[in-house]
Amino acid sequence: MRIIRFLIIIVELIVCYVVQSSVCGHFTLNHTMPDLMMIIVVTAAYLKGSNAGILYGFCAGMILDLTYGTHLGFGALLYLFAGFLAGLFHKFYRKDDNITPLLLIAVCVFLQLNVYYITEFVIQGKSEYGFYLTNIMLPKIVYTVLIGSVLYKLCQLSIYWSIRLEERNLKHYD
Amino acid sequence: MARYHSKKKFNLNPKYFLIVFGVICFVLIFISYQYPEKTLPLRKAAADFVSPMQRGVNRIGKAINNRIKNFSDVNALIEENARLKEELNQLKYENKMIQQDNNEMETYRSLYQLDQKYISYPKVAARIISRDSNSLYSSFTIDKGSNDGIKVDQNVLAGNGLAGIVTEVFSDSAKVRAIIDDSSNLSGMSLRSEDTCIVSGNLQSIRNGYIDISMISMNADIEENSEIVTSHISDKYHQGILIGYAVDIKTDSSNMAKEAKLIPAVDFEHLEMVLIITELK
Repeated sequence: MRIIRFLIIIVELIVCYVVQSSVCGHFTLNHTMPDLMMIIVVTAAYLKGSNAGILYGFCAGMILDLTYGTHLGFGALLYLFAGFLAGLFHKFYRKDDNITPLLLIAVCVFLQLNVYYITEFVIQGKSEYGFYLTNIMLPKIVYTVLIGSVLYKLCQLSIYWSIRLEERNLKHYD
Repeated sequence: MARYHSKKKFNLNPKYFLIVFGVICFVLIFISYQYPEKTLPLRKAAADFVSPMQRGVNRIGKAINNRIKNFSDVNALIEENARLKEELNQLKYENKMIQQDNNEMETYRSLYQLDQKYISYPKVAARIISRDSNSLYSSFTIDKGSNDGIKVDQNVLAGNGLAGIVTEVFSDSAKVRAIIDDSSNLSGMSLRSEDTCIVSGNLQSIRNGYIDISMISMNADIEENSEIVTSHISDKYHQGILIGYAVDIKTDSSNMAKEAKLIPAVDFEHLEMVLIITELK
């Protein structure tokens, strides 16, 4: 059962990655694409808790690292921390609260981009932070939150359905 | 509801979970930093697994994009069509004139026995199937790989200019680093005077439509709008491929050399098809 769940996570993330890398390139906002992987990781962490967040984050980061990353494991570490962070807010979860997950997504993308900025650009000494902030970070965060508001609701619905199904099955066996 | 879902399944404290996976990540980073070739089979497998899906989904994405554009652009297209027809007539006339000039030039060329500047290299066309979704890098994946004779360090053209270089090859796909990428540095030269310079990609500048040229010698004879092509010094790029046009030439901060902006000949915003030169330098 656990393995099947793990496989479902992988499939979910791969679908997400394929859509992100192939479709989002056609719909950019100020040259930036939304970070669908981050949306899924943060949403999963917020809905299911830190452990799920870490697992989701690790898998998402590994997929990105295997395809486009320079160092295997670096992206995984970033997404893993994002999942852990968002998972800490799991205890404040309320069904009708839509602001917190979107804020979490924004904060996680912001932190992740800052780490990228430090590791990629401060060392090269090329780009100014102000330019990076206004031209890359902000559009990316806005775009990700916009897409995230839709995806979050979808994830929430799917989880409700799966729980309801499980409950019905349990009743059946009782 | 949510509490129901997490009951007693993973009763592990998240902190330990975090530490375990964190350690795994650090080990992976260490391995890939120390022995990059060890991770290559994994990356190859991943690329071979994902690229067929990307190929299909990319087509869907393009179709949706085109559909949306169709709706919004019909009026603009009708106008443009009328304008283009006018322009076409004019160009037809001009083309005839140029053809005459061209014939004249051919004869001059044969008289001077000039070397052919653009040697025709064997090329393979490929379609871009995915872009790096992390917007800091400018690399993309094409749908041809080692099965089609693609090798690392082959030059990639688009339209009439240089687009990038192949950095990784998988069996049915390959990764290309564009010349506008921050980590891209190549040696260029002025087509007319053969003065060399360094063309480097810059994330900040490309937003304004150009990349950077540096290390032009002080007495170099490079004018505004002169064509910059790949130079004879480069060990990876074939000589004489158009990179772009130099503008805004000025002395750099060290007062020892000149720097300039380069407007790429390739439109990186609307890149769909590329040509790969299947010959290594």
